[in-house]
Amino acid sequence: MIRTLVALCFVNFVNIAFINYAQAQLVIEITQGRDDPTSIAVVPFDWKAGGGEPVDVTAIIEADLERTGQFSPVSRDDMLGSPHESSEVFYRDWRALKVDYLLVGKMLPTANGVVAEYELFDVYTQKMVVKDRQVGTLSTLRDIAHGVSDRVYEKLTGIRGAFSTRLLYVSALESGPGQFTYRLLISDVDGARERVVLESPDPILTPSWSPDGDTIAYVSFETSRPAIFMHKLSTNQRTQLTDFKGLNGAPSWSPDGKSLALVLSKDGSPDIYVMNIETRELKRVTRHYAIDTEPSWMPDGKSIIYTSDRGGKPQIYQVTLANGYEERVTFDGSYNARARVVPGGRSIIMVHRSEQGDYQIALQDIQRGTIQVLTETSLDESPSISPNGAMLLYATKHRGKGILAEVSLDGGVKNLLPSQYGDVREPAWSPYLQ
Amino acid sequence: MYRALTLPLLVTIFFHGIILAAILIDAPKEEPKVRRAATEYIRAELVTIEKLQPKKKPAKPRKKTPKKPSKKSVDESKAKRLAEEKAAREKANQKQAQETKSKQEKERKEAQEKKRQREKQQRIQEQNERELSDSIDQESALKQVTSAAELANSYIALITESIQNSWSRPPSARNNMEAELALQLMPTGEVVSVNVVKSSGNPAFDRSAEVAVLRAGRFPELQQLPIKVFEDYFRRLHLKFRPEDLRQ
Repeated sequence: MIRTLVALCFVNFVNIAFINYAQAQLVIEITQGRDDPTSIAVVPFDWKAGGGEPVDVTAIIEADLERTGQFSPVSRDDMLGSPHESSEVFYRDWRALKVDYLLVGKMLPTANGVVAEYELFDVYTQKMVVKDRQVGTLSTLRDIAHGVSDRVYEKLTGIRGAFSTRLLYVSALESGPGQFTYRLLISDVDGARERVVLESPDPILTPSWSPDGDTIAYVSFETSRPAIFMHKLSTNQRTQLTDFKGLNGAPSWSPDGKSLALVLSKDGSPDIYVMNIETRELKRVTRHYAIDTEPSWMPDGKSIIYTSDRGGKPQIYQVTLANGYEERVTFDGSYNARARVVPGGRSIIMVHRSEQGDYQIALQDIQRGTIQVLTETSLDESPSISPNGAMLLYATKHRGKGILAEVSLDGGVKNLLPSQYGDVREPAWSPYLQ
Repeated sequence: MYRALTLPLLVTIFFHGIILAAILIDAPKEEPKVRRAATEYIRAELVTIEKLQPKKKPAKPRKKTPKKPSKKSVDESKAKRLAEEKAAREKANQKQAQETKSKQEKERKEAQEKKRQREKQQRIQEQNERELSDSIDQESALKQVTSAAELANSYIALITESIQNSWSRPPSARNNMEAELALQLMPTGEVVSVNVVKSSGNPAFDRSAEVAVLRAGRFPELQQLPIKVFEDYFRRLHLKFRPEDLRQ
């Protein structure tokens, strides 16, 4: 008994002495970084699924990673070899190229399609980071590529990838003198596979995604006055939700998908309402003679942020649904509008007029109130954020034409997304899709 | 039942006491070596002043001692009783003589004192000068020791900069996340090993820190360090990765 106690005490003593010894070591604090893009080599996947490769899967993965601004893919011409599995990897070669990560893989045939088998290596620590497979068919090679990108991105950044999500936006193409054709379009996040959801000679406005990504809501003028429609993508079934006198606009889905926040002017000036989608029951949320518009839900579904000019100039306000308590959110600048909440709910993005009079997209920390302008162009509008909170999509003017642009939320990288249909505006980034 | 436990309890209390004492005694040892070196040199300064002072003090009494015997010889003349009057006159004369003597002596003393003061001042000046030059010497000696720390510091700055330049934080990184890495270095500046000893809880963040060190790869500047400084500071070191400049 005593012996064991003595032994224990001795162990204790040794432990403490060791801790003391360890503390004596020099500790250097690293508090800053340069955050250069991480260098990654995506070696062209070995195509073994028969026939020619219809789509360059590797190029899609490279482009996905590069668009985030957090990765810089190595040029294929610089690669010293083309390994397709771990046994063929010589770390020395890649280290000489100053490559941080190496992605290799092959496309193999399956009973009813193709599978990508891939491995990701950390060149410096010489360890495998992930080994996985992504199944699909010859017609979904793009989905396979985005799936691989998602996995790689999540592993290396700690943030879920959003490459398999979609973009929703409106285009207007002049079809004759003074006549336009309006289209509601959906595409992949890289602008590929653009398809028409709705075509109309009347304007289409403010498309919005339901949280499950299968239903959208938008405003259409097809009934001669603005009305809100619900549109199920998988069945192409449309339902008209509102037909009130005056303004019917800016639908926004609640996080639980059961309600829709919208703007109606049936009782006078435009105010925010919430509609229960199943019962079509309406609840008035704001009641003010000024204009209240552009509602957007906080992630907890308990409050809504919106634009109001009740203070004389458009600013962002927040209303708590349970008690109707209203609070101003933005104070910086003479114009802040069209706010959207960043996933996580800590900050909002919005259109902000700078002191020079330019309309730019800005990020505001809700708690601290600090504002950071993310874009450099002058007529930016309709910001929408990726479900992982890393990228921001907005509409702007480029050579006199409306286009979509993308910027990483740390303000680092900007991309323009091409569309084949004329002027493009009002983008909405989809949630994660099943 | 409780009695059976008293002995083990006493033993554990005793050993914990020892452990506590060990920690308390150990703790000051872990203070930066630089500071200890500095205090030692301050002590050395005190010793040199003590060495200088004794030289001055013995010099003073030597000059005072020869004056006293002259007074004693005057007292001996009082022993003659034959001519009291004469003696009285003599006394008066002697008094006068004494007075003149004492006056002269006083003057002499004053002159001597002035001399002494002058000498003193000279000596003080010299001493001051000596002390000044001594302190300059000591400062440079101090510098040699502190320079080991300063040297280490400048190399710490080099390593910090090199790693910061190669650190690419993942977007999931947040301010005040903290990962601690243990590094082993060679005197050539090569990294022998990197290990995550305290995870931030975010694997991507930990990996980014590890890659930053490996990407920095070598710190060839360390070759220029005296081997003692290298062993003391750089053979094994810990890196704390804790971003402070992120937006989120």
